[in-house]
Amino acid sequence: MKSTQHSPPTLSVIAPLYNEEDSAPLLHKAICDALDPTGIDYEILFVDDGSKDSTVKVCTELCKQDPKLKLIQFKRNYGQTPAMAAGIDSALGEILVTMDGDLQNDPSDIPMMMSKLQEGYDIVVGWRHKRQDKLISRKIPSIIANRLIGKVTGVPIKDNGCSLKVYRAKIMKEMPFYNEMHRFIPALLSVSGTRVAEVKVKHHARQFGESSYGLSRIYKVLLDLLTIKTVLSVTSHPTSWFAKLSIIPFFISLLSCISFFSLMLSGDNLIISATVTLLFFTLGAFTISLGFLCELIYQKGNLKINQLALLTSTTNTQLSETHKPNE
Amino acid sequence: MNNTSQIKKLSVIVPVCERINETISLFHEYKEECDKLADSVEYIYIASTDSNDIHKDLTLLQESENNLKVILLNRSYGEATAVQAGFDHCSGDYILTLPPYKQVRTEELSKLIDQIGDYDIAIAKRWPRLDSKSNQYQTKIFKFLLQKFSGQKYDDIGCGVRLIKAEVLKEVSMYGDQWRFMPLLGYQLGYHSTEVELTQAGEDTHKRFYNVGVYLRRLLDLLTIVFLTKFNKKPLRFFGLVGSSSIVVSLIGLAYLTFEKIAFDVGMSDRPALVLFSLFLVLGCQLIAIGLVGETVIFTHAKNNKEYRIKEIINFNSKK
Repeated sequence: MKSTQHSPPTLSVIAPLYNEEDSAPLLHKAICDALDPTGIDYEILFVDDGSKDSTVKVCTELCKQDPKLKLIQFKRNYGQTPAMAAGIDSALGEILVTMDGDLQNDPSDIPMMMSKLQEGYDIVVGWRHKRQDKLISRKIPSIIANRLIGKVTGVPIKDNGCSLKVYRAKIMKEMPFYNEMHRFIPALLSVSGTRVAEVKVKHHARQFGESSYGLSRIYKVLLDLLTIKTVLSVTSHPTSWFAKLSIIPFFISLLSCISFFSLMLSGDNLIISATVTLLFFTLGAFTISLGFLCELIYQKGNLKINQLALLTSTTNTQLSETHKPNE
Repeated sequence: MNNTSQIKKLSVIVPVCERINETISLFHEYKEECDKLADSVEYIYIASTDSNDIHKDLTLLQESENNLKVILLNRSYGEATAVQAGFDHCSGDYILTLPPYKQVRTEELSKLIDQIGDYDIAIAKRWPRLDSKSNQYQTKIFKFLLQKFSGQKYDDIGCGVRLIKAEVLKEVSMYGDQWRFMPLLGYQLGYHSTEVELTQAGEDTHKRFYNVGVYLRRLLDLLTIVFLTKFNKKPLRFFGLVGSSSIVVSLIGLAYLTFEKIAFDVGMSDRPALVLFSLFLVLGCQLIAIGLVGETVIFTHAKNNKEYRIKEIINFNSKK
């Protein structure tokens, strides 16, 4: 498969835009400047996430000048992850790059990340190692969150929040990708035996506008983490994950049971401790039964992890034979 | 009429579910007005009731009218299912849905076509209203609840007169009694709606009081729709919120009991409050666990359900 006029591009750069009329032209130029010297055949996908300013107009003008640029316009605002998902779904390249639309990532890191990918990884994650954000409100919560995500999912990535990532398209297109999942891509991909690498990337302070982050984010990340842990364990053995969860109520029930018997010896009122014992015992039984329910859901669903595992085992060899970036 | 050029083919869908006494006589009135609205108009009546009389009446009517299709469903499925069944058998670019009873003056139906513009859905709003204050208050209370729960503003979502682009009904999946909430389901997929004021028909002004069950069912429908539109991809956000509130209450209570036990040596074993707070804890855990099962359902089916809807792809690449 030699690269001809009509062959699909090797690389697709995906950037979600939301009210980025100022950044869009600069971002487009930065991507072109970074990739043109490498000689890679690439396309750029801007996804307009229902912007209220003139982002669409600005990008349409850019599209007229640059046939490599494609603009996907959403009907309304859906959020960053759906925007990335839309880009991934319509990307033609064999290698995908996602990045922020607000110029905080630097496209000049892409060639370096691609060569890292060629070393035999399926996903290369950026690590904003000199992060240009406020310390208290952004950096410290982020460090704690990343530690926690690494502990829970077993994929120790230092910076899950960095949008600049490079993937093999085959795997990414098969992954379910919704909500605010973009934070958990490395963890999600790990179920299919994906090889993850992390490299240091440049990070710039926001040039235009303010980013909005609230404290409610912590709560959301915690819930998402619980979700990720559950869906990850569902793909291998849901019953055992829910059985593990049920240990806690069973243990409380056991403690309460011990106190019941000690009270029985002293001849106190037994009803309260008996009720508490049974209550937690019921919760344990309930939790275990949910594990069976999840087995059923997974079996009836359309997500087959074993096929994903096959993808990761074959992609590497195929890719290195056909397309190598000229460096 | 200059507005007819806007719509080539119009399908008029009438779900015949309740208040069916005037259905047949109303057909001629509708037909007279709707025939003016577009170059070609087809009528589809879907009967979804347990009443056999209406089946016979509609079949008779169908024999004398050539552009009328009648679909008879064998039991009462609800308006949303009826409209979907009708949509499956229609071929118009625009769909005009009308109730089988008169809600607005038929002469004004053309307003919908004039004002739909770039919107995907035009909902009729009965205004000015001629009916009693109590009816209007019911509409207002429902509007208030709808806005509180869903964050979206519709003045009169109880009105069945709507002009809809065909692509909207192709995408929106609804069932049962969700017909009135169709604009909300549409909005979730990125279809925007506008409200058009049509004068209320004199026939619609009788006082309406339903029994408590009907109101409760409406409220339940509303909550279902809010859950389906706001949390359809993140059930744990919903269950987690309710569940963790319950857990927080129980933990505060249990901490207080522990404090009393340690500080004043009040035994826990004879305090019913312990059962209460344990109950809250168990309830909270169960809710969160149900949320997790919900997330599992979403995760295993996510590949088939795209969250986003694309308006347009702009690309000036000449090579394909």
